[in-house]
Amino acid sequence: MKVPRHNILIITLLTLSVFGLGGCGFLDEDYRSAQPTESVITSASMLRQQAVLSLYTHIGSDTDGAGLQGTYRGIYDLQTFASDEAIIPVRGGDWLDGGLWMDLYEHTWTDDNEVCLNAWLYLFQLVELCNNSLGLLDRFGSLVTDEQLTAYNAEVRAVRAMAYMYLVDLFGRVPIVTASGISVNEIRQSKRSEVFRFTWDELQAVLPYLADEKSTCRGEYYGRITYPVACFMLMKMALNAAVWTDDDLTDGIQPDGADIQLLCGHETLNAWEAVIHYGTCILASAAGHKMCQSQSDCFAVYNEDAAENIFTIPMNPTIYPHRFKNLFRSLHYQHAAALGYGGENGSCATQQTLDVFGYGTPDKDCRFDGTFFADMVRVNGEPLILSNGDTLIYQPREVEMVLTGSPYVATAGARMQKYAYDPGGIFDGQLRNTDIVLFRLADVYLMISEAKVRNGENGQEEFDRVHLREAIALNVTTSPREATLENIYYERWMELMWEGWHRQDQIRFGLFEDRANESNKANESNRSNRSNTSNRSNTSNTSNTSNTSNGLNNSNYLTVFPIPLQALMTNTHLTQNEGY
Amino acid sequence: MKRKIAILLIAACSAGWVKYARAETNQETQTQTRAEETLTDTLRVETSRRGFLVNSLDVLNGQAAGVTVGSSTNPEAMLSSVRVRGNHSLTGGNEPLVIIDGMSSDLRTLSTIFPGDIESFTILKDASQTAQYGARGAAGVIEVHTRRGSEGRFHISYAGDVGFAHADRFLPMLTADEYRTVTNAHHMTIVDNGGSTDWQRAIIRTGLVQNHHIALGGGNSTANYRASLSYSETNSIVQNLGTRNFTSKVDVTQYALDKRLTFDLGLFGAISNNRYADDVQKLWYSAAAFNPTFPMVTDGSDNFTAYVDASQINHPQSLLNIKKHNDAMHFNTSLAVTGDIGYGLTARIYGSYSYDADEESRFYPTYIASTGQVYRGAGKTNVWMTNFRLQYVYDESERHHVEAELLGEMQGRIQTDFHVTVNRLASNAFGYDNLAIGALRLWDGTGSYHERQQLLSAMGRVAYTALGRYSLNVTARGDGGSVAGAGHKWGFFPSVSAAWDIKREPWLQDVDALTRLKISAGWGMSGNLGGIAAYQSLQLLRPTGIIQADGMPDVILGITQNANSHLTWEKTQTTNAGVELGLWHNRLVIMTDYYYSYIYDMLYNYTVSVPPFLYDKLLANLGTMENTGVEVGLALAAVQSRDWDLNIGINLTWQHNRLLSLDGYYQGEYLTAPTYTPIASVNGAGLHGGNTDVVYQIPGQPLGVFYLPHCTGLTTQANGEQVYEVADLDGDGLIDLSDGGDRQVCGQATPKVLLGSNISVRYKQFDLSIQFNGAFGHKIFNGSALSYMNMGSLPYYNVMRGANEANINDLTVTDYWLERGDYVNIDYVTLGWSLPCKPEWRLSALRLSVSVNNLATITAYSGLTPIINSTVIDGTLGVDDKRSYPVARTYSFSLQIQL
Repeated sequence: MKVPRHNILIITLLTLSVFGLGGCGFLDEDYRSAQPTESVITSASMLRQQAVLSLYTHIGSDTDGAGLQGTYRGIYDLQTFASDEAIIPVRGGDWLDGGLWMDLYEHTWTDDNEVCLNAWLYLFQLVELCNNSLGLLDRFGSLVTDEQLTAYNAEVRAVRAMAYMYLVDLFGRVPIVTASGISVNEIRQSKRSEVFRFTWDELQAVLPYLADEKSTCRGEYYGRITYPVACFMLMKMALNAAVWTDDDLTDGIQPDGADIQLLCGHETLNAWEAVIHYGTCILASAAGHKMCQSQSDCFAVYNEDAAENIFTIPMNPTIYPHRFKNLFRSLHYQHAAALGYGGENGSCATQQTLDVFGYGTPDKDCRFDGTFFADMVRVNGEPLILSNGDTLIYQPREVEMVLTGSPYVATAGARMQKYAYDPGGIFDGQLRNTDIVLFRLADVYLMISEAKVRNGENGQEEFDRVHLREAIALNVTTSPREATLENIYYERWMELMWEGWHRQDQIRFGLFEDRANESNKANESNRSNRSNTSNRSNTSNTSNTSNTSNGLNNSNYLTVFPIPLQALMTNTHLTQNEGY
Repeated sequence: MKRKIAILLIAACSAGWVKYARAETNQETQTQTRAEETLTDTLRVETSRRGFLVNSLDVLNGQAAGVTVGSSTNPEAMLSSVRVRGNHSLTGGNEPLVIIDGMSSDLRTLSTIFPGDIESFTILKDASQTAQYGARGAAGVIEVHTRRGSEGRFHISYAGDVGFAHADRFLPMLTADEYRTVTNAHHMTIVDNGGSTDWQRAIIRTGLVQNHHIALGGGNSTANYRASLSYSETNSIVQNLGTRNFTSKVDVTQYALDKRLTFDLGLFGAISNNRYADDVQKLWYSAAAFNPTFPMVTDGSDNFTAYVDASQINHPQSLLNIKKHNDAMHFNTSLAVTGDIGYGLTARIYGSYSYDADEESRFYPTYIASTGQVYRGAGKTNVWMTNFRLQYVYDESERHHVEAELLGEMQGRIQTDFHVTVNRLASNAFGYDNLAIGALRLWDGTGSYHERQQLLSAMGRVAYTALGRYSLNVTARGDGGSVAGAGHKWGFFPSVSAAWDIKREPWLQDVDALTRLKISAGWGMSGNLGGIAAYQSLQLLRPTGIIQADGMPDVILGITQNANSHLTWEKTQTTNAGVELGLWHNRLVIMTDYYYSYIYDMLYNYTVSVPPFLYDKLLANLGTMENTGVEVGLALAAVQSRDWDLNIGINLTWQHNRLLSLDGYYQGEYLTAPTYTPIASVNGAGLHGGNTDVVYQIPGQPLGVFYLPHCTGLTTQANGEQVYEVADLDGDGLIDLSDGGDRQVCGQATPKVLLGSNISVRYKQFDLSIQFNGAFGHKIFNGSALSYMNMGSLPYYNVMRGANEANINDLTVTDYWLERGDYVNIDYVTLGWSLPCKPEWRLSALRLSVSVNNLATITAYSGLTPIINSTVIDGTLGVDDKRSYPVARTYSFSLQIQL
């Protein structure tokens, strides 16, 4: 049989033509519901949105471990549950979670701690997003004026500096990465003091270009880093400079803030003066920040207009996916159910917190009732009846790390309140209207007061603005206190409870101790003096923290968290923090 | 061309149908000397002897060596998993390619085809067989041939089954009285609402099942046709759940130009309506553990008394009011034009188009989700394919036979979807039927996407057979896929195989007892892109959130993944060898097959350093894995006489998988996977995180091994409670339950040996068919017992009988509850009567039968059933964790009439 050659040839060509089609783009991706950068950034406003504003979708989050506050197992949990302020006790089968919360409370975390890893990943993701944004501004800068470009660059660098502020606080020695697309092999750690200086210098460099506007109210700057927000960060940096520039945590020596010289604009100030300087800047800012009449105004359902708030995570159930799970996590099931939510019956105040607030004493601070749910709670005026017929009574004093077997396994502990109940919340109140408060003016006043005292000045005026405010608002009497470091420490504890600052304060005051050594001591004094406010004296060494060696001990390495094991394994150039 | 003998013996086993099939086979055996050289598993579908079939995938269960039909953890979903020779990838593309009448399709579509419309399944496993499907055939190929009309025979047939499913095995939880006694003895305060409810029985029912199918067909010398309609309804044993499926199929073949041109046109449509369980584990966990003193709600209202202390479960009846409904429409059409050009050349142009529309509707009442939620979503899939095939056959007497083939093929797939979610429902009465009942529409509750994937292939194949007994087959195929990275889109997949039909050697012709002896071997490569989603190689922006910076909300676009522009094909090299032996006129046929496949460039989601990466996961082609197996098929026609037939078919599969390595260099960076990566864990009250992982992926081990602390027994605490005593395996004086600590590999979750067996007996017009399936060598972690034997769960969660006596108060995950998973299951028993049709009845066939499905399970496993997910690599692999349905049998009666 004969086959005409030309037929075969034609057929072969037809078959091979599929390769031709491959060359003609048949195998190219046809994207529609996702687009490359150059199709999106076509105008000045899109450049601003994509390079600058996009970063703010990462401040809050709907993913656990991400976001500055509101989700589980991220930065907020490190700052809160590793401190003396709050605890998530083991309640029978609930909240054991492989000892995660116990490790935080007892300071027994190791380099494979999930929360540390989450914080690391989140913060460096934010750094990389900023670097990516800087690349976009570089690439598409011609779409905007030079002035706009400078301002956009400044804002992106400010966001990156914020990430570094948390990194220098939590991990100390971290890599400084200022551009995207770098090889892993080129990424090296810097000393803690270098990271501090880098962050400080970045904020200094961008401060003049940030808008002097209020960030927390609706409008152009809603939720963004503006001048007062950056000033607030500079205050935090300066206030903690003595800790954050300490390159050897285990030598028992810590720099003194008075000796640390910081460039503030055109002048060089010591750390305490720098705090006061930027505090003054905030107070003088055109943003018009003022103390609210009551602390509760800051945490009202609609708190956008609270003049006291400086930086918040904007919330709105239908617009933002960001979650606020802190209340959900704290309330007893029945309590949450009465509010129309689910609850997880977890976090609550520690014994130390109860002592500081004077719970159970005639001197109980007037903020206690707005900060916690304790004792018998009522919803719509009615007490809550548990499934077994008992009335729900929270038992603040029954709290301990392991409640399994306790008759108060489900009811021990004063629960988180502070944030107003939002009937418009959904997903068990996790999506709600109340903006999550990150920075606020009360903290500014307390920082100024503390810096003044540490610098040998009088900080009473600023102290009183915070200390007396709630009593006036509630029209109750409160005993005035002198603005000593000790009183400032407690004042910060009470005023800023549940706001994620206490770990920093404890470290700065040299009170972030080895829990294992401390717990015996604390147990004795707490138990015997439970109703006696004088037991506050067991922390009297606070007045001495400007001195170098007090409060520092060989467990001081715990004041930074370990570099996460995953980070060490994926970048072999990184080394672990000393002590771990 | 396909050799149907194997199947015939394994599947079609009885009576007259067998005789008919045998005649057909004998014919084929004669002509079957051609290029087909390795074992092909073709499964002839004999639905009448198959018990009650829920869907056509059930037909495959236990019928072919190397094929695993996984039990679906959500029976209503009908989406059984199918694996051919195990798992081939860590990331995706483990499902075999389904080719229905030449058209590429998927398991989902296959499951909607009425079993009675299917003529045969052919399972292609060896690389040289799957070579013609190249790229997409790495996980095996299931070729499905549907029934067609035939010349000269007009017929109308009806087949129907009616039956019911009845649950008769439940977990032995404490009754209300026992619960009261036990909690009282332990001085626990309980909530006693005075009722006495067995919640497992409270949510079930006897489920009606029925299938009806009408087919007509016929033809003459120039055309033939077949058309069919079917309706199936399966009501689950769970109240409110079930599925309905309506299909319609038309196939027409027409010849032209003296039969030199053939047109084959096919149309298939299916409409299905499914009501699923929203969360199977939540449902059965609640049914088992909910407080038995709560009375049932019997007035049809939704006054479900909540029990908030048991926060992990819900009132079981309230869960039945969740609606998760799926309405699917599937339509496909195809046309093949085959022309005989002469000179031994045949050209074929083929085109097909299929369209799937899926609507998913979900309703969560306010007593389930805090403010209630309604979700509606619609997805559409368009798939088109066209190919051009040229075949050449050269036949020189018996000495030389050559076949050659060239193929060019293009394929596209477009998937679109949109969905809306509303919250804060004003009323539960509206279900999902009026979205306006929800006050809030979340930004991230609304979305849509459009994704396109295209494939381009070219193939050349030459097969040569000498003297009718020595054959060689060489295939070369190139495939390009759009989802791979630029410059990495094409893969080249060659294969070669050879066969020797020894029986045809002159020196064996005279050995009468030996009917058949053939050996074959092959080597081939295939590829897989199933683990790569569209656009994964590109850095693209997608909406990621909202900011409200200018007083008005603005959507922000962001990068949502690390892109890897080097993504490419996963590749599998398979070597196989087989022997076929037929004795005594094929009354005994034994076929064995050995294979070894080596998978490389395997995709894995690596953990990478942040910085410089934005996310800590990067998909990259660096892994290697191997699969080895031996498959034995045996068919014995033990008795063949006028009145008696006895046929026995057995297939056995021994398979072994090993994950070799995941480490390697990506762009100069050394990527490595953790030594221990959890796959499946247990959860529930008291089991949230913290060393609750059970099944792991560990390089050097089979995929899915149990890696657990070792329990040396129970120890009694001072308070009389028992706890699991954990061994200090690494001898460091400390008990460390975490990975790398006091844990050891102690068995695999996937079976080492699979068994399928069918025994059929005919006596005159009566026939009896029994199907056994079995799985051996694997283990099951009894997570249900871990939870339900824990006295610490009381009083909020009910416990099992025996928990009080054992008095264990511990939830530590150890190998204490790791049990052998071996089982043999009697899948169905069917007894039939084929009536002798008298001419005046004007019937050509009439058959009545009764069946029992899922008759019994023989196992030492102590849980509800050992038939759990032992196949698919997901969060349920090897772990029986509070999600098994009560064991149900289906009893059915069926009638078949042919005119």
